[in-house]
Amino acid sequence: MIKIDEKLIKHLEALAALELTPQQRKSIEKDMQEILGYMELLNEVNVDSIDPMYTPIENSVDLREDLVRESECVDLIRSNFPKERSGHIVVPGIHA
Amino acid sequence: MSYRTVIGLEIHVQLMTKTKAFCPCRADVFELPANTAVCPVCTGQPGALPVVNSSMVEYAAKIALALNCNVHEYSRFDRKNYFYPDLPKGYQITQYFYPIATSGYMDIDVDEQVKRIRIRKLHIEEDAGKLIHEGDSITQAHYSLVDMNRCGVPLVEIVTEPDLSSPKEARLFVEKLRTILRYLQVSTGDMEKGALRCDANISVVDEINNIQSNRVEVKNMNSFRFIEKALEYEEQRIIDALKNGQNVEKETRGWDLSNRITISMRGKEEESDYRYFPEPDIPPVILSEEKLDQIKSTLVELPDQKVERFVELYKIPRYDATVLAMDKEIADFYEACVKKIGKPKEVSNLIMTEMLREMKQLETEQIKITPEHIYELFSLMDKGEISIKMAKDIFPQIFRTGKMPSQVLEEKGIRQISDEKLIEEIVRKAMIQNPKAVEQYRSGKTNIIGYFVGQVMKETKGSANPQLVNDVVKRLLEGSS
Repeated sequence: MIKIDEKLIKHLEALAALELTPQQRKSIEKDMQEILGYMELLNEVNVDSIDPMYTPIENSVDLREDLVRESECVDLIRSNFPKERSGHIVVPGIHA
Repeated sequence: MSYRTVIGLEIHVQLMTKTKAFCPCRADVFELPANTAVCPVCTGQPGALPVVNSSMVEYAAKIALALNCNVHEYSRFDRKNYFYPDLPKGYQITQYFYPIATSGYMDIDVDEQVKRIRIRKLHIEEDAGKLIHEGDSITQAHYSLVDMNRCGVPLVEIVTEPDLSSPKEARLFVEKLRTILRYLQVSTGDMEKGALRCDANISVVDEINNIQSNRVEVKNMNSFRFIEKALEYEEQRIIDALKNGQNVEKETRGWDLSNRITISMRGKEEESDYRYFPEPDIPPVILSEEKLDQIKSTLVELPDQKVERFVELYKIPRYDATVLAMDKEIADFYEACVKKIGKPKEVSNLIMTEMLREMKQLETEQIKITPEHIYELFSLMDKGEISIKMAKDIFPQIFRTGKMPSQVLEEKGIRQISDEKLIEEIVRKAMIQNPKAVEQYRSGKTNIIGYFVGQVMKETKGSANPQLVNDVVKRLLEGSS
């Protein structure tokens, strides 16, 4: 099983763009150990002779015809912007 | 000292499909007001499901075929995970494990030599949104503005092998690729508008000491000229480091247009960790042999084939054919002219020098004139009504206004004087004024003829038909009046 320690939690924290308190890190470390430990059960199944299945649909599926259809939700989507300026979403500076 | 430069390119091509990659929103969003071509799918709303655009797959296959790739019957989409404000879903849908095409090549002409550049892979992915940073630079911006219109616009990414050995070759490669994209009508290829974007990986090998520098990624080169300039700068920077027994950081740098240098964009501290995994919401794409054959049958004649045909059919130099074939519209225009006029080399000269110069000066890619204009221009020359010099003189006006050559001539009041009587009159006058010169001619100094021709040209402001003037002067001087 992959080693769950503070270093890994901090890495995941950075990837998820989160900022955790030391207590939260501790509790997440414990949760993850339990979750992944449970998942270890799957390793008991012998899959040596089985190809991985990525999707239940391995046949050809019809693709979408290239025709424009404007969404009816544009205003609804825009009404959810936390902060807006001239149609744009205002977000904190990237490296500020 | 001997250094060898190694360059590989990653090129993003925006496809000009009508709709986005996985939703029916408009894909042509460059001029739209911010956040108007959006829907639950491309803004990453929970539960929204992507559906693959058929034209996108077709266009990607066309590019792959034109680049001599192995087009795969089975390809699949994956998620590339990262957080950035231009990516509302938190992941980009791309093809990582099973791209639509691999192992192709494109030939470029480098100093009259053909060089084959191998293509490692070609895959489909979606574009991210557009960010406007408030402030002087990204790092100083206190906040940024997000426009999600571009989210989900279909892209094809083309990755070459590191087969390019100079910044010039890199530019030539991207130029030729754009030509092909335009032939195929799958992308505008417009670098300024971001429809064609190029990143490069560059390293330099010190061949004497057998040391290879670290690899530097250069981004932000949004014109053909900048590709060459940025890579020349970077090449020199790496060579300078090697000369001093140093190495360069393995990092990403951007071309800074205003200072004409490359600057470090990202610290080396974080190695990217995209945690790719198969996109569970999209079934694999199956491109049947039948479908692929059908796409193949729609492929137009590509630039290389056109060059061969022009050389073979019109017997024009390979250089001419290559210049003409760089732009499909120009090549088609050339061909239409030759079909009407004949004279393949003369027509090619006119188009390559006069017309291409005008297009460059006007910074336009549009041809407002028709083969009819060129046909009339050549007819006027054939009939001796204008000289080739006059044709060249009035060409800019024809090209810029779209007026017929005869109309331009009339408006400017210029017309080649082919009126024999009028020319005779002028010559006679000159003979009377210069009896000595006439004497000289008759006593065998025949090159004095140039003096009389010059007089006629002066009198007519250069618009007399030179052949006719020559004939008349000769006849009168020889006294056969």
